[in-house]
Amino acid sequence: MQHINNDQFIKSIIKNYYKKVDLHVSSVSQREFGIGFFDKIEVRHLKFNDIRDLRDFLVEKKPRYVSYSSALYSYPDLRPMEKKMLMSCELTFDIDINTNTVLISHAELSSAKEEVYKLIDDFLVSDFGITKDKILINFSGNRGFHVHVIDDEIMRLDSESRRHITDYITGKLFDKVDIFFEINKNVIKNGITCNDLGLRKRLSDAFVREMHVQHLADFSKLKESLISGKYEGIVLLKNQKQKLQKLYESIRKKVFVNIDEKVSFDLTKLIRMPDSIHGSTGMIAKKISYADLDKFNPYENALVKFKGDVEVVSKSDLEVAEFELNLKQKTRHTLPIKKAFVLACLNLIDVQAILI
Amino acid sequence: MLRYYKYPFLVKISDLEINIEDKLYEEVFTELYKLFSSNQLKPVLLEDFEVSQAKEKDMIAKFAISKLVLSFLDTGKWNKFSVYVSKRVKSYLSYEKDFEEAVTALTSFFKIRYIKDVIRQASSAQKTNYLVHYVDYIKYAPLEIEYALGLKVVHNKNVYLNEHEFVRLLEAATKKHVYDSINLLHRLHTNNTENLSEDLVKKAKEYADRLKLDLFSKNTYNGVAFNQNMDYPPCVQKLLERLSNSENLNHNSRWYLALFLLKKGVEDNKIVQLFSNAPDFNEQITTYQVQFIKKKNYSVPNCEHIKSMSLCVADCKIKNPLQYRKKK
Repeated sequence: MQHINNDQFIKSIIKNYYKKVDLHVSSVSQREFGIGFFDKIEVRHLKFNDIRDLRDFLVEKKPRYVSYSSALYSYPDLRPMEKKMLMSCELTFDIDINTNTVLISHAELSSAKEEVYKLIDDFLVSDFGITKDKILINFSGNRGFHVHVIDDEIMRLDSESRRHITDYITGKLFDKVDIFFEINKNVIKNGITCNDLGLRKRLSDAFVREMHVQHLADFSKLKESLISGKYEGIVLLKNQKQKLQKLYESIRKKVFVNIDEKVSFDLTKLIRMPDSIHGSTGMIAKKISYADLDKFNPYENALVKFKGDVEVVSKSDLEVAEFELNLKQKTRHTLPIKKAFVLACLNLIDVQAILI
Repeated sequence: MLRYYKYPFLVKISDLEINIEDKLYEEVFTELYKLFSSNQLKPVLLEDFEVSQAKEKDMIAKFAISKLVLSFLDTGKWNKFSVYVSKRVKSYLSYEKDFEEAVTALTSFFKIRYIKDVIRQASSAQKTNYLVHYVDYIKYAPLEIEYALGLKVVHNKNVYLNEHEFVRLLEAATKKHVYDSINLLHRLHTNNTENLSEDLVKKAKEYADRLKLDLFSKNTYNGVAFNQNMDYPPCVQKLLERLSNSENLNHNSRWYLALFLLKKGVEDNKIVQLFSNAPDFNEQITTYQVQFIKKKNYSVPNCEHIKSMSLCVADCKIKNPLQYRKKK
């Protein structure tokens, strides 16, 4: 038995993780890196010549957070930003689910996956024609996923062009239902149809689906027009316009994608390095293939893999459904290292000793 | 055959045997003076028969000289010139005998990938769609909200545009190209991309200095002369300067400028004329809006409000812009 406290335990796991992990970071020498011990980024403008250089640094410093730039620079370590000389920048999307729980639940995880599928299938592949081999997904290590588009042409887009893309994907410019229907004095004269292409088709389909699910009989004429594309002056009765707007608001969440736009258009942003440890949750920002996304479970696939157990004391009565754990306050428990590491990073337990 | 006097940027001046005479500089000087001192944004169009080959060469040379002269002036002037050239391109396109050839030349120059898709409709009318690659589209998309990618039909890499929108995209691409090429000359100057000699550059600088002296010392905005000692605060002066340079002002800026000038007793029609320099100018809408502001009799916002709209540019130590008095 080796006595150890939380800080020593976390540092030792981080050190051993980076010693052994197979880091796959493309264009290492052209990226800016940032690290943090208490906060996500405390030091930035770091540069490494190659993977070995990066690994040695991480093993020595044992940071809880490691981020890198989606951008590639000629001189990634120079300051101010203009001196770095931007060459190109991956188009990155950050999908996060708001949650009140300390760890993302399975239901929340499914919602996050749904957003990723919408982003990739509907927008990136169907609308923008990007092939899946140019899209990388990784778990953020906490509440969602990061999606990177690695394509020479897209990587050369400036910030303003990226804003066009984020506005399109988030549906930011479509705040009113009137955009899709030509409404004049409560008469719908024209509108989107299921025969349209891209987003308009998806919205039309969603309207029809939702009208069916919600049994909205008073919109039956509009439903027919959405399907046939023939609008012959549909009169909206009292309050129906507001009802239509409300219906649209429920639909837009299903059609558009909830992303943190700044991550996509701010070329100077640093984002969690794939395969690095997220120091707040103790989980790994795992790379995931599109085919594996559906079955990805962070509580199995994104934990550090070390054999052995740890003796811990829970700081309070603790129920962690994701780990099927029920810990009593101030009682000693024996936990496998991978689970203890997560709970120690979350500051829910006090590590007492590593059981060898 | 495509006539390049309409699209002079498509030709590399080094590819033409052109003797640049002093008279061309004088003509450039006169044309730029006119452009910056009066409302010249409505482009003058020439018919093909009016332009001999020699004249066409001169026009191409003058375009290159203009850019060189402008590269010694401020960016506002680059903007106004770029808007002017792009509007001229748009107008020429609308009268172009060989529209297809012009479009092919322009799209290949700007590297805009597109497919022309003609759909025969039930009524036997034809609807033409231009399917533009989204990467090329967002590179040049005009700033008006209706051109935001977010409001367009996008499918399988392509943005669906009608002919009017497609031509507007070419106009925006022209504007960006002309502005960027002046910027490039500005950065290179003595080592410019068009192989112009040091002597030409020197001469261009002389003409630019002359323009600065002749033009910018006058207190004139878009042909509307104001009293040189006018008591206009820096925030208003800045907006007038931006308008004069054909910048698109946002709603708050337009509202404040119109309101301030109305309160200063400037006539409605003079204010409308001022706004005619804006790239998206619409006389009917502007007239309506100026009259609406007058009718509503709003008060000029105080300086705190001006600051909150990010329109304040100096610390004048006053509470309301109307209190501003120029130091004698």
